Amino acid sequence: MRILKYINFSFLFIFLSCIEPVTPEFDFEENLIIINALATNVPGATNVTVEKTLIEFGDYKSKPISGCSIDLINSDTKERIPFSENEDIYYISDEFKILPGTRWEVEVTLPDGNIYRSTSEQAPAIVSIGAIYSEFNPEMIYDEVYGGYIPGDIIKIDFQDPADEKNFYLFQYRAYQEEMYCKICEESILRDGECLEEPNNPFLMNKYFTYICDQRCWKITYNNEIIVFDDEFTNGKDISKLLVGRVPYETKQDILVEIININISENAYNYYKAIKDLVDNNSGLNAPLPTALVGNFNGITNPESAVLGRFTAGSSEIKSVFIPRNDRSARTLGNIKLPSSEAYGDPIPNPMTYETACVESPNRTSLLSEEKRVLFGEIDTGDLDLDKDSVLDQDDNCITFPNPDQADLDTDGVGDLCDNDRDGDGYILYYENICDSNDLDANQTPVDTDLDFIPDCVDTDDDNDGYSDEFEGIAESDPLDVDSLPLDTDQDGLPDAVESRRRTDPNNPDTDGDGVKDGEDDYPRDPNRS
Amino acid sequence: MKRRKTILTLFQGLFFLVSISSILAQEYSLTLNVSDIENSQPLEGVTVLLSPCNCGGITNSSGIFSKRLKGGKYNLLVEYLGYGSKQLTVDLNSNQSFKVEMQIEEEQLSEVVLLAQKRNQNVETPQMGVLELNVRDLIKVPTVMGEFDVLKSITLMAGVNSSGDVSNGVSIRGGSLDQNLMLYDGAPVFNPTHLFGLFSVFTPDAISGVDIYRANIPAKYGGRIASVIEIKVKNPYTDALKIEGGIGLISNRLTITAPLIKDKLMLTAGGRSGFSDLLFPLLIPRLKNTRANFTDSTVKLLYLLNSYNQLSYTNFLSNDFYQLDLISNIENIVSSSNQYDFKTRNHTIKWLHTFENETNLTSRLIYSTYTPQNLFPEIDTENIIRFESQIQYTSLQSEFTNSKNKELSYYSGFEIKRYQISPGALNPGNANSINPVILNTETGYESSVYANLDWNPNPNLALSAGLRLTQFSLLGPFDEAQYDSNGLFDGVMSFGAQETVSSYLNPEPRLGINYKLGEDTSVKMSYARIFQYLQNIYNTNTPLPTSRWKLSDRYISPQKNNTFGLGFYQNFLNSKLEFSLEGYYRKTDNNLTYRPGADFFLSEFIEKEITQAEGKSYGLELSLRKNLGKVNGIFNYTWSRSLLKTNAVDPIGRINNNNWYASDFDRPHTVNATVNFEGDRYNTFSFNFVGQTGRPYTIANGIFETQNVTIPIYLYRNNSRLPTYHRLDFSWKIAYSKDPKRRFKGDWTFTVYNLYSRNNPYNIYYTQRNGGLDGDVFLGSPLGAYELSILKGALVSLSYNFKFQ
Repeated sequence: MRILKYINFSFLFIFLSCIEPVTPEFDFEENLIIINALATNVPGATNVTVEKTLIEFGDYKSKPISGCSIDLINSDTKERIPFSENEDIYYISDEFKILPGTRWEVEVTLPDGNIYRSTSEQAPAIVSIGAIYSEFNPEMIYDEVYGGYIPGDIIKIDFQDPADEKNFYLFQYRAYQEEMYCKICEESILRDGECLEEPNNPFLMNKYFTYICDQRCWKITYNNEIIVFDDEFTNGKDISKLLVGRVPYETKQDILVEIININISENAYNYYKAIKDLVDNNSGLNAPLPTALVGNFNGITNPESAVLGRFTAGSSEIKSVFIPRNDRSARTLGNIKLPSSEAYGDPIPNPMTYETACVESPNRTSLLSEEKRVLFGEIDTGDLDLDKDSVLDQDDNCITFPNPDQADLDTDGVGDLCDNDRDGDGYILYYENICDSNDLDANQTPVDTDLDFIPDCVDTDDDNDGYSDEFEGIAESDPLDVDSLPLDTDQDGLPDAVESRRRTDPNNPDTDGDGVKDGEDDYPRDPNRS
Repeated sequence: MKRRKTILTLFQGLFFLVSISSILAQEYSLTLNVSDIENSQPLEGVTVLLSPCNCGGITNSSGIFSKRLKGGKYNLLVEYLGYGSKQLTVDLNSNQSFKVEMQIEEEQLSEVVLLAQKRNQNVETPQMGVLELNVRDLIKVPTVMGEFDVLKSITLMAGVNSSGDVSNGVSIRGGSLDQNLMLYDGAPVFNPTHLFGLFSVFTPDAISGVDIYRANIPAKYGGRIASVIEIKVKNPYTDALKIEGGIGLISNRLTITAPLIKDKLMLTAGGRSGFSDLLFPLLIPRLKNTRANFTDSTVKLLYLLNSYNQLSYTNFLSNDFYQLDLISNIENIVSSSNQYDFKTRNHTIKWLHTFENETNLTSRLIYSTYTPQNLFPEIDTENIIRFESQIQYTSLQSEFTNSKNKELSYYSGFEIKRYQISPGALNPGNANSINPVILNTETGYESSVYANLDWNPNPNLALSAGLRLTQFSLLGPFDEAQYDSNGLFDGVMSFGAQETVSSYLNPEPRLGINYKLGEDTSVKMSYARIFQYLQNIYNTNTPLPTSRWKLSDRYISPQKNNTFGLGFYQNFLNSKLEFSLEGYYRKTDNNLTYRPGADFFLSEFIEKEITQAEGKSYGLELSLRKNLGKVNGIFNYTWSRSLLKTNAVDPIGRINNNNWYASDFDRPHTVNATVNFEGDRYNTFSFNFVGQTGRPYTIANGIFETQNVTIPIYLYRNNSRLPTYHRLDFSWKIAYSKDPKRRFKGDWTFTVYNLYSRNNPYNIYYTQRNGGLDGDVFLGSPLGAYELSILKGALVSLSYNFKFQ
């Protein structure tokens, strides 16, 4: 109910008003301490993050502080339970949970010895979700920046609010969709799990390459708005069709949405409400003015120091809904990139790569429980034969192209149809074709002065001496002799002859002083660009 | 209560004593009633010269000049700028009264002539910081969509600012919007705008002028600390039917002025309505379910009982109804739209009694209500869930004026105001999913007695001294929250009906001194102290019409203001060019600021969400005005600051660590200019320019991330500024009635608002980064930012106005 006073009126003036992006302005202060702590009844979910603000290479950041000593303290028994650090987040254990009704506080000791302690929070009783609904709305929400309606699925729930107490709710969601690709490399190729640019490869024309996952893999998305509810005006009522989540319709893939209902204290509610005002309600004509977020941590050793963030004890419950989206005719918000896998004949080096690992992260998982997995449909996990060439994938030396004969000229284990260098001479088919050689004959190789497997006919630096053939031509040194170097007084990669043409200083390796050597600077005379 | 009554009786007794003492012997009174022949409006400030006595004077605001003279023959010369002069010969052998109708001299008249302003007035009176605008000034100002708008026009004056292109009021000398007493024919207006701040509510054709007092506010006014904006409704002095109207893009208007009983009962009734139901869906399909309707009307009845008694009744209604697609869900109510319904109902009864000896007694009874509502029609049912609040205001004022003696004039009176505020009620109708909520009504009385003396001890010195004594009581029934020594809630103390909850008694001295250094030069000084007991509570840039009003209580102390002013005034070229330089310093106390996360919606006790701050504002206002000629106009430059400082002990109440910081209304530099080119009698071109330092706003001091949401950290308020605001407007008025004697006249007004299409940012806000969207602008920032401008590009409009008389 409280939301309504901040209704965004700007749309009333929509025919007059406009928004323009501007470079965000900050009055950034470094070394502000932010502690966010959550204790819940969900096993393993109790965690603490400790961050501080800093400016790193001109960018504003908040960075995790490691090496803190943190205890969860039972306010009644004073029992201390220590947290341990795991990749910037502090956990107690995979099993640890707190019970509704218990009181807790958190004490954090920073590596510098400063101690911060939260006030005591009681985990409220759980209010169970009744029914859960989803409804598709092609005009789910209007987005000023996008300049139109965002289509999506609205999630609503029913529940019975308890009459004998004040209740405060925080709703979050976690949504799973099957990943089409586990990696997309923009103007680069995937080798050893990394997207590698091919800087010396002028023939790489593909804008991107897609790589499928090596197993079933799900993308996880989260709510990007804060949804809170206070029973101030509805205490003890049957709450029906309460909006608890808005899931954008990005792609036509089916989606599983888990609504997490966290029962929180009144103070926690006010805190999340304030966050909502800062991030969701801040854009209209009558937006609340930004103010400080008041958390519940206090400095023990230095009471005057500013510490931000909050410890919240919540009691949560999850309810999920599966939304099939395949048969919809409505337009999606985003587009899935068309598959563009590496293909035989592409100007790319071996080994050709088609798939990559589904690495567990907050945004991706392969470990979905069986009951959730079945919602997405069964996939024959047994004997797979993608190219239907009657050779099962596990045995096939080229799973993407049908090759029942399993031909492999260089016997490197990669079938010819999948092998960019069939003869195994190190020069890929694409180069051999361009440079008048033959990829079916290991004895025929193109001219390659520096033996870097990029033939001279496509190599921009034939002798690999660090100065391009073009520069060597201008400076009149020998582009085919690694020992013949052009004159480069300041050793910045630009020969003096080129520097005089580009009007850069031959005696200053970084003419514009932007930290990038002239030879590597696309704008060697512009300090703001490189 | 009883004691106050005694004081009032004493005061009333005093009036009559004074009036009795001034009865004179064997003379006759000569009364002139001067009006404009064309529209029968009384003319104020008309010079009347009498010979052989070589005496004279000027007409008052009702166009009346009156003098007692020995019997005999007199020659009268009546002069008024722009109207030429009239000569009369009178043989005075009884009490006589004449009606003098002045004819505009077309050749001499310049559209900009400030008709209501007496020549040289600015160097004569001790009143400082007063701005007077008459209807001709106002109508020339080009405004949004051709709508004639009082509030937009006054923002072209020195020391008056709006809080942006959409502003539910104005800020005067660095004060907040609710620190201005906005009166429409004496009755307070709590929501002065339509469309959430785009237009003001005052019926355009009914307005005769606006007076703005911002320095030594006269003792007759009180209750708001920054200024008084008195919007005057035309008196329907007429003996013939007159119809005026206009057709515009946003609204249409019609005003009828007619005598009901000749020379006895006259009426003016004007109205305006804007129905945008059709417009919105046509312009933007997204607004297909949006309704935006507003109407306002002003009716004034004038009854001339006899030459000593005038009775008038003014009725002002303003209605707004908006329906918006539901874009923000309201908890647990399934409704398809939000509706807004605001109603203002003002009634003013005024009785003007003139005594034989030219003194008069003015009494006013005012009743006004303001009722904003939010409506939520439930889906699939007829039921409507309502959130409603209301202000009921009643006042009685009576004032005795004696301005007979030019050297020593005075007025004195009393005013009793009763405020009854229903802060909010949630009425679920027959919906059973919502619990009803009704906040307790607050009742307060603000009673004042006041007196003011204007004294000219010698021709070069004028003095105006006033005192207003104000007593405010908040009466029960009332529930007052109690707090323990740690500031924690500790129960409620309940007060019964008529029980005093808290009361304040404050003297408010007002002083103005004018010293003339020469015929055209003067120096003025002023001082005023004022208290404010009613405040509008909001923590946004501009209040919503539904935002809460609150009376002072034990925790929310009355706001207090001490203003000092010093001014220098010089007229050049026989008053064709007026120059003024005014400096002011305002020291305020108990300004309202809001604590982090403050929420006033239906909360029972809001004192915990508010920190009262001391304030100071100071500035220099330079104004240059050319009134006559083919090219005329005003140029104003203001340098000013408006700062606030909290003195809270607890960390949450401390804003900016209890250091001075810029208030939302801090505008160090402001330039306003208006130029009019009066080409010929058919074409008038006007330009307005407004330029001011951008509004202070708050930028983040850090960021952190929680749950994939990047959250800005704010430690200080108003630590940066929006880009400079500037705008040029143009208007072209085409009058095509060739024959000035024709009864029907029409003209076209073509306006371009924001001529050079400046996007003036109203606000800048952070957004979450959305992939690479606008990455070339946001660069490496953890958050994105967008600038919201109300107007994209220039707004062109054409309106047609007509007059039949």
